[in-house]
Amino acid sequence: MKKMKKMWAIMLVVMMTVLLAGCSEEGAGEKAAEGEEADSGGKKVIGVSLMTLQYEFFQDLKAGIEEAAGEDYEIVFNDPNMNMQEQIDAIENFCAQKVDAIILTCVDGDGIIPALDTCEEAGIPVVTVDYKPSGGTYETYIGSDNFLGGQLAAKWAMNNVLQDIEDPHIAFLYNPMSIASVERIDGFKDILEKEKPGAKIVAEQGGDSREAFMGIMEDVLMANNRVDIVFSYSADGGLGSYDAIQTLGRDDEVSVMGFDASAEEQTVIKKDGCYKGSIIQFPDKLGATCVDSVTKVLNGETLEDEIAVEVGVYTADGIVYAADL
Amino acid sequence: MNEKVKKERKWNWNDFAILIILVVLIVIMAIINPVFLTLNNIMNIARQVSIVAIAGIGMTYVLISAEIDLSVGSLVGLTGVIAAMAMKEGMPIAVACLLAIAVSVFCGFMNGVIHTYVKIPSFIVTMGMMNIARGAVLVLTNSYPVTGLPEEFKMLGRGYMLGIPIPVVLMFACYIIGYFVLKYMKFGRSIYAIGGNIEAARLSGISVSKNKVLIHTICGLTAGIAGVVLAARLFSGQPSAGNGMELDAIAAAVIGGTSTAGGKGRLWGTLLGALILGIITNGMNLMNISTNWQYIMQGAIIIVAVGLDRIKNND
Repeated sequence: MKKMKKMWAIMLVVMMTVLLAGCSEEGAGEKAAEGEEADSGGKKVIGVSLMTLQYEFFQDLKAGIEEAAGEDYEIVFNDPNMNMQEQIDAIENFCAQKVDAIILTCVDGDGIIPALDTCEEAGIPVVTVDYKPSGGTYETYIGSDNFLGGQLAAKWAMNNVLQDIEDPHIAFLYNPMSIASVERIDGFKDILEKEKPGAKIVAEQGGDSREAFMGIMEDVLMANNRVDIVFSYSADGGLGSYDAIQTLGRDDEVSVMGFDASAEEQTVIKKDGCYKGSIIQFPDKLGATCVDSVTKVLNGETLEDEIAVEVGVYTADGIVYAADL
Repeated sequence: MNEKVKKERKWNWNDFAILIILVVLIVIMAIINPVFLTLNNIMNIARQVSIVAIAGIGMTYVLISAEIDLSVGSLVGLTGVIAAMAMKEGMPIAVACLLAIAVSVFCGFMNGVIHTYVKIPSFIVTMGMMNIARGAVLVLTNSYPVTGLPEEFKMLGRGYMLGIPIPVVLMFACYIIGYFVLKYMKFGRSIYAIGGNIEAARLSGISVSKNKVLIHTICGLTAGIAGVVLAARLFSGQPSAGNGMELDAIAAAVIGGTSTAGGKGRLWGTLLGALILGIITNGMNLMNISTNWQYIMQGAIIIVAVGLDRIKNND
């Protein structure tokens, strides 16, 4: 019995060693960048810390930054996975290794301020993207305009889905943890109030995952015989609603507008069913604008406080831009 | 003799407490919103709770044995993603589902083995597994959802069998088997013995280590089944699926009267617990009450339900 236990223990230790060895090999490149000053062969180094990589949006943003950086910059990447403390540590590491600039989507607008102060002391310029810090010093904020995105969704829906309905019944899905989500919904409401004063908001519910939104939308459809359109702050909300609408077989009466235009949303929208459109941000453009701004800062130029990158509506007939509406 | 009668009455009262909460909830909801008691909505609630309820079976086993499993939510996510990826590779649906469930079973098995033979508390082992499994999901999918699955797979999550949603049929099947195992099989009784007093169980000749491994393996199994059903419901492998579901499963079990200190619990209580949680969410959604209040309501119900159980046990 005792021998058996020992064997198990040894096997486990061996397994873990192998696993760890495998990991460290892959991580070798990143490790080299930590600690002392990065050896980049004369290339300028940009430290990049995004909120998380759990969402496609940030994956695409990262890809956009990498592509724009190309051969000109060395990128040192950090994924704090929504953990504020981890992000602060990463920023401090960037400062310690004396990167030339930092691109940052903060996990929290307040929590990031001390880290921004550290960067200021170290004299390292910071370009923020997608989430605006509520204080501190940074070169510029680059973002898609969330309010405008909501307005755009509403305008397009007025012209293409609700044109014949005087008193549309509308459901909103948002995320109580995200300011951006509230801004998007507010943008939609802003246009709605002006153009369809008879509109009725039948539901306004918050959630944070596709499963949750699916459940919510099933319940909303149960409670309301008539829902003309759902506007969701995200792809998860839109797709969750779409799942619910299909499960309950109400695709011919309920339309969906989403936000983010993720790959899956695009596939569904192209089917030309009840999923009518989704606001498309251009994370790759955001990424490119970040790198472009870094270049300008390093060349001594002063940037605008805020740089808005355009958004559009992804529809079955292609992308519609703000200028077209 | 007198003692015995008293004991039985106590149990009955306990069993009723949760039923009373459920009935009161149903009556309140039905009065406020007539839609609540329509057949359509009842099916809807049953379908919504089925996934947490299935994952709750294994969780109940684990809790009765005085352990805990925090990896359930991550395993649900992992299973869904593996099933989806296997299907995309062209595997037949059934094979893909079984493969995914097998992975989850293996993770549960490892939980049990590491916990028992390396003597790491289950809280720590399963917390590690929670991170490993979620990390594996993100590595496998690169955080992108896996979509474009065969149409037939949808049936599993959205189809009906004799007018009852298939996830609900599956849920009942799992509960019937789970109930039978827990109540009438030697293994099931051993779980209570181990949770009640592990030394006494050992001395009375129960193979504690073997049983513990099996308990955790079963928890992996039910998490796997729940994961496949969830993937079918979402018709995609979502990297974030099942996030935090272990807490819902624990909540369902403790509302149902399972003691986190071990040795006590009943499987049908977990089913009622899941139903109570589902009814709160559904009812408040029907009334368009903000999600934020739902959290408060659910939290309150957990404390009230377990509190009632405690008071009745102490007097």
